[in-house]
Amino acid sequence: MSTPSKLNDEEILRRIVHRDALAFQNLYAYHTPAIRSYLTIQGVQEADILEIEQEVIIHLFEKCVEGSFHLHKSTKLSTYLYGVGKKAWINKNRKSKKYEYTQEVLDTEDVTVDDEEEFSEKSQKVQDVFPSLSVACQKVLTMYYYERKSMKEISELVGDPNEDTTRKRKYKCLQRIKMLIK
Amino acid sequence: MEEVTFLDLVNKYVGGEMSPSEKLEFETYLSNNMTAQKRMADHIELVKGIRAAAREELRTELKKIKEQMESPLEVTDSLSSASDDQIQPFSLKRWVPYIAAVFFLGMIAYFNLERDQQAEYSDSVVFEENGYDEELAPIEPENEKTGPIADQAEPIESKVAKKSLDSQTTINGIESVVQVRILPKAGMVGSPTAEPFFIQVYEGRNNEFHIAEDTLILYMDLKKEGLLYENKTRFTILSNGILEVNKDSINLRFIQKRE
Repeated sequence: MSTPSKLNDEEILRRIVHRDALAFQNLYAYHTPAIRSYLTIQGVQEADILEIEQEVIIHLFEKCVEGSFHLHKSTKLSTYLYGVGKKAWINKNRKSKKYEYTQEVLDTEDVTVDDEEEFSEKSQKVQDVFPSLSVACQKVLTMYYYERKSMKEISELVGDPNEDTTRKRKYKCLQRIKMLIK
Repeated sequence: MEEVTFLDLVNKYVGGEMSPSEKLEFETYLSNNMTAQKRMADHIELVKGIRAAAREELRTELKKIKEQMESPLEVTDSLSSASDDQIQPFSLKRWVPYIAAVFFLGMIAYFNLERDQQAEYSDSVVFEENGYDEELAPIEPENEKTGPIADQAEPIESKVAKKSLDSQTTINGIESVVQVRILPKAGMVGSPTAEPFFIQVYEGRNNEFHIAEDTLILYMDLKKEGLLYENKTRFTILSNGILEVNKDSINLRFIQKRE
């Protein structure tokens, strides 16, 4: 496995909001191995470990773009992610009941599992038609609704002359989705 | 209320971005308007779907990164003289046929080429399609700043080509030359304050240069363009082929590997 140049925690957090590949590589190379080791000891299969690693990284990404993630000075990012990894596994296993928890897991304190977001039929339809939108639409909607970028940032990134143009573009994209899910 | 405005308000409301007075006003509006309530509920479901789709896309991106990190390194003959610990961690797998073709067919020519002829060669590697740009072309193309830049291209290109060829860098023991070219066509992606450049990376040993990676598009602040080569900036090629410039003073906006 190739090892990327190491970034410190702050640098990872700064870069991750831009979906920086090096930040993601760092998370895989230096932060998820502890989770991987833990899950391997618990007998979790490789496919599930990969999924949990992803969930951990996605969790961090979403927290960062929402602006709701602040690492305490005394806490290392890897420690935080290790906890997230454990929770993600418990969350996943709660549904599948594929694995039996060891006493250590049952004894784990501070494990609060978030309920997964429930999707309506409409949300599911939107998800299904999303890949059929133009790349431009996908990018604008992703940047606005998922990456929480401002209209000004999006406008600059897609090369629109001003925010109004981007706002109209977003509106047209939403209309397109509505048409596709009818 | 106009649909665009209404959706903006819903987004602000859901995102908790309204001031208490705005929130109160909007809630009052909603409580008196069943249609608006329905529209808001519909919009929230739509946004949930978009977020789920975007998350799925991120999963795919992460999977790709993970796979690239784990893919074994292939080393071509021309690089085999480098010791194992000197070999850089990016995969040359995709480029083996191309590099091999260049090596066998152009070896003699390369020995005879002057460095500025190398620059000319790279000029011939021009991309004919630009799907990404087209996808993101403005709906209303009134923006003069994203118009053709061919007029500026000539002097900048030649200056950069010359300087960059003098700026050999060493990446994990493998010498490299980076050549910067300004994008020779209109409709580029990027903010009005950023101009895209083509970058071509060559691996070279003993003044033999050959294309090692496909062209990348680099977005950077044009004002910082000089720093790129004047300071002999060091580059790192990551395992996924993305070029990273390790210089804080150069603010790279975006680098994308051309497919």
